Amino acid sequence: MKAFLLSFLFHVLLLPAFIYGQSVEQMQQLFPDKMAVFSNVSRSVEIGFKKGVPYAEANDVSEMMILNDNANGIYNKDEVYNSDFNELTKIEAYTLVPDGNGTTKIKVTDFKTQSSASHDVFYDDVKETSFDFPRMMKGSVSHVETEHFNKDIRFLSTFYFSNYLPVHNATYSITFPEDVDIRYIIKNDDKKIITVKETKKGRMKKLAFTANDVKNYDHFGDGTSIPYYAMHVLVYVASYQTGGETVPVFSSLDELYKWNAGFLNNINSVADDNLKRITDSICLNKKTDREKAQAIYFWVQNHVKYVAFEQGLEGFVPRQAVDVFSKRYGDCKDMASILTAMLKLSGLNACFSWIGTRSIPYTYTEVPLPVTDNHMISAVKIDGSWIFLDATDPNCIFGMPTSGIQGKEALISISPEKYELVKVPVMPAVNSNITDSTFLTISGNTVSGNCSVNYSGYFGNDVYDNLLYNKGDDERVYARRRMAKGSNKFIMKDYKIKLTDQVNKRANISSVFEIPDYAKAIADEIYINLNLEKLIGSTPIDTSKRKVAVENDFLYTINQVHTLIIPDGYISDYIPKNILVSNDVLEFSISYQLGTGEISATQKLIIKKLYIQPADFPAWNQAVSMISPAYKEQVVLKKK
Amino acid sequence: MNKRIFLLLTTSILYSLIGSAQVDSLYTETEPWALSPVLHQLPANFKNESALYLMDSRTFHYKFEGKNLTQFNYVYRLIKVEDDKGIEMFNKIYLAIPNNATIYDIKARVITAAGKVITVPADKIKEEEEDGKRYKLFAMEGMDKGSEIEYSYMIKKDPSFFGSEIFQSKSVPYYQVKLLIITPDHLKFEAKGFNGFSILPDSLVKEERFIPGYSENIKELGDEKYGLRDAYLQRADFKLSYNLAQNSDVELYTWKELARKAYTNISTFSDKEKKASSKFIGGANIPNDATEEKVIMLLEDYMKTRINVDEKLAGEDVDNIEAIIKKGNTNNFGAVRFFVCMLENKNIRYQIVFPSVRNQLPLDEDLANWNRIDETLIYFPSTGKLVEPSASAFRYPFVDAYWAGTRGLFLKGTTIGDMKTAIGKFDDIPIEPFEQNAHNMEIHARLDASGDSLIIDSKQILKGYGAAYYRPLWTFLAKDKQDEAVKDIIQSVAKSENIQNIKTENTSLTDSWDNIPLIISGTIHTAELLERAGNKILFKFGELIGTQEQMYQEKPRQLPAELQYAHILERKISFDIPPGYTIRNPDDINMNVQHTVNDVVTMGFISSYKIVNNVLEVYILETYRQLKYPLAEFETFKKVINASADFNKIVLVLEKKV
Repeated sequence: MKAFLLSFLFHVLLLPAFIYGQSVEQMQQLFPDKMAVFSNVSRSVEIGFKKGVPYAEANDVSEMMILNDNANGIYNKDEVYNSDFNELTKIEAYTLVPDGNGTTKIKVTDFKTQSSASHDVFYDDVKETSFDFPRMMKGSVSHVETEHFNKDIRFLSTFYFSNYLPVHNATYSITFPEDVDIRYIIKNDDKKIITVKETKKGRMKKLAFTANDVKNYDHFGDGTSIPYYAMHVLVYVASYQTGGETVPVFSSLDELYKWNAGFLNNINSVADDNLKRITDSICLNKKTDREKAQAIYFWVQNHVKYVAFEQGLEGFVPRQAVDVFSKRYGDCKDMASILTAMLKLSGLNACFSWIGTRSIPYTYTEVPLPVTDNHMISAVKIDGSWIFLDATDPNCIFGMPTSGIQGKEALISISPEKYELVKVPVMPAVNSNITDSTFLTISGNTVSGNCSVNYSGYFGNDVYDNLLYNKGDDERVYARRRMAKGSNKFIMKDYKIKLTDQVNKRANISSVFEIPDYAKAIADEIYINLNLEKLIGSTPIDTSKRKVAVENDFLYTINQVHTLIIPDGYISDYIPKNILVSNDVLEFSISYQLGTGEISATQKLIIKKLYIQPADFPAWNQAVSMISPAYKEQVVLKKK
Repeated sequence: MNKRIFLLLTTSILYSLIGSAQVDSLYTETEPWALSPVLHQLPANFKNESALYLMDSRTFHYKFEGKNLTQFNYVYRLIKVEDDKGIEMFNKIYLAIPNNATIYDIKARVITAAGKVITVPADKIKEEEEDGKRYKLFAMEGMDKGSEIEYSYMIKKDPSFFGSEIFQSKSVPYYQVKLLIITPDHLKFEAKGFNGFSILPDSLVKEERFIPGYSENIKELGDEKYGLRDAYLQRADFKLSYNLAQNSDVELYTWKELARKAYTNISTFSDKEKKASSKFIGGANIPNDATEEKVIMLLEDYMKTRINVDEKLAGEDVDNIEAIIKKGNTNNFGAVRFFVCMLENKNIRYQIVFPSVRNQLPLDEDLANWNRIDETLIYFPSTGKLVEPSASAFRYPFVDAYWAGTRGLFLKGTTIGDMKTAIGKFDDIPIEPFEQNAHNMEIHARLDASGDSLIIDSKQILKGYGAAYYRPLWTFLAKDKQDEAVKDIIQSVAKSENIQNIKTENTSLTDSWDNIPLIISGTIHTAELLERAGNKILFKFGELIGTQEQMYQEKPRQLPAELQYAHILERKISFDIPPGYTIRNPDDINMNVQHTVNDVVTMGFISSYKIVNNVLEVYILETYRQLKYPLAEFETFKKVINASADFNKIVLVLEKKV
């Protein structure tokens, strides 16, 4: 015990000395261009036992050094989160301000605790304690120290070594009795910056992870989420001993499943006549299993709105289908519940399924922990294959997963004891199409035309979603946004929206339009660029700066044909060359065709990858460098 | 007026009330909560709406509970939802609870399209606190298309003698709305309706005074480009004006009284505060021979570079000057106090100004709603200019543009005997004149040796507000982000990965003191603006001025056009015509859209060119002399805005001389 105490003291006393040993000037040298750095970010977790049940206590320290006076006001605000599962037991914060000889400590005295606003959730128990650091001037070091109590050791939180500012020193340590099986997974540490040290004092073991001078990450709006690239460690309890017995926690996916399945006890176990009646009426005259499932999915999508209450276990336990039916609202679990119940009532083999959306980078096999999923859907097996039904999108097409779960693993609950792990398919590019057929005429510099655009797959899904929320004038604004091409002088004179296949969410939008000043008529010549829309931007990806993959919502195909009716008295004088670029990431082509009295330009784009990885950037940039000049070629017409 | 008659009137069920064209039962405190509610017809003029407030009724009842005057607010809403969008707008309800108030008697239910009534259970009503505000929140159950939701609640609180109620929204129209203010007979309130909201004279009913208000058929009022909508919303403001039991001649809560009180609050300092402030000023190294204006500038800059101002900062000593200096943090009020304390230390004459902020609900000069006072400026009579103490990014004489060029309550300090006080008076708040605010450009372009790309020397010259909104980049961004931002600014001329000779001049916040122009220049090498038509070069010349705002196809306009600040854009562009080439269509450059009032150009876009020694020289002048253009001039305003966007479309055709 004494040895342990010593090491504890060592930890507390020596660490700050090391940090404050770094002067502002040294930090500025290490991280030029920065206004502030995290000088120290550390968490030490201790696993203890109360009446044979393990708990965890975490002590977090975060220190930021300010390198520039102008930073005052930028990094002053901080906040700490807590919930039922992760109770905040202590918070202390202050700023150490240089005063010539040493430092003066100015304490934070005002802490404000309130509900933490969450975008998707209507009500939950997550609270946020916020406060402001005083005097964040050059040389100041802000310090916040918190203690959290986890009554359930399943909720050990992830520790990030990298952050939005550089981190000079990041340390995570966990101390635990030797018969607790602690495991860890390190992510995004390709250069092996993190050092791991295991020590033992008496019956206590300690694992410590350290990383120094970790570069900050840059976040990109069109990129993957932070866990895909930020350096972090997931530490978890695989099992522990109590009363001479080994209690498994998250030793394998089997254990995670067992825990998850526990939340389904007694869900939809009592039959309900109303639910049965409505299911029967929905399935009336539906002959095949597929037709039945489709009709039920459609009904739930159209009648149950997304509203999430997540207080305590509400965040894990689906509500009874019959309640969802009467309330007409619910979160993903509730929608999965009513779907699964109705599908079963119609005689189908439907199951609750857990899944992580694409914002989570982990697979269940790699990370068999609760952090791997954040979503629930219903899976139904028809003709031997699984169909994934997610009713949170009111216009998702039956048979296609919502775009945000493509390629992810679904943990399908077959029975309380049995599960299946099935990969949700990525929908191929041929499924989601924009097919645009436009006819153009020229009068002076004004181009007039009519276009007809078909949308299918995820594009159709998106059109239907937008039509749900854009009515009247807003519908016209939406249609114009979809139709606009050529330049921002595009004037949409008339439009029509046809929902050509409401089951498969196919739509057609057509419009009659005019684009003044789009063509150039000079003397006996007319110039016009027949690529009225540029499907690929001209800016290459800056490979020196960007290390984060581009994330596409889905794979797609766009086909655009612009046909120009050659005005009377003119003939074609110059037609640009065709181009074709094809690689692993995309296929792109422009082809021109001269017909009788008309010239057409066909642009085709196929996006082949959901994630354009940094390794793909050169291929992408090479394509851009070929496409950009092609986009600049104009057709020339000349008077006969 | 007989209260009983009005009560009798309301016994008829709501259905018939809605069916009639006019708002009824104006003198009843609450709406009936029918045992068996019936669905209503959607009024014909609101077809195609996603949802409609059939009724929004709000009562503010001030009455004595024992000796204590207490305020009871009653709110009742009945909403018809017609489609999915309507359902999603109203299936989650948030009820805001004012500070020190209790909310009770919450009733909420859905009448489904089939007529079934589903009441929200009491245990499903949650409470939470967000951004310092408490809410009750609940989800409506069983909603479907064509259903109606109905809810009402009471709030009990300490009395507030000011109120402002808005009855117009961005997305949902109102069919009928009601307001009722009930007070003990000796407390006389004044109320005023705005933009079509009607207020009836107050009438005594037994021992209480009733002021009813109403409106109907209120359409949505959404955001519009160059539109400031808040001032145009249908609303009612009210306040306590007389206590007839005390002195019926003396108006309570006037702007003058506010001026006195606010002045005392802001400009009374303890000796310790004065001492701390004096010591702080010592660090500013203000030269003895500095002019008064210079002293103002130096004090402002010294304070703002050392003190972080955060509007939301709270705490006991947040506006105490000693604590402000120690912690380096304060809120808006503390920043104003601190600055005033320093001005007094230096004996500088000043006036405190509460602006009628142009993009918020305006201050009404007749009805003194003290609650609307939120922002503070300091005005200097000696120079006629302003400081905004709470804005870390602005320096003398620039303040938030929406706070200037408007009316404001000026607090002019004076002393009566030993007592410091102030006289309050509304006056115009000056704004820096239009020619001081510029977004100018000097550009020289030429073809490179290959003939496929352009080399563009670009110089953007920003003055006044044009610079004031950019300068914070160089103060508050880290170096790497500054560089990215500068590149973005230069790329507004032409996109390129190849930008050389990047130079930025006069980037300091204090360069606004003498309005020294902020200059951002660079040499752009780009192929972006050139296209090919066979053997001709098409030069997208118009794009050099950067993408311009356009209003080619707009929804029907409801609001007049208003600008953040009046300004001028002067652009000089030259282009070396490549040897052996001619420009086929230089006359496309000539444009002239101007609007004059009394021979003064109030807005306009003109462009012209000349060719000198084979160099094309283009001059463009775009002006917006006024802050506001009335709805009647909107079409012209649109033409001027679109003229610059039309300029964007100019393509010069370069052809080899034969």
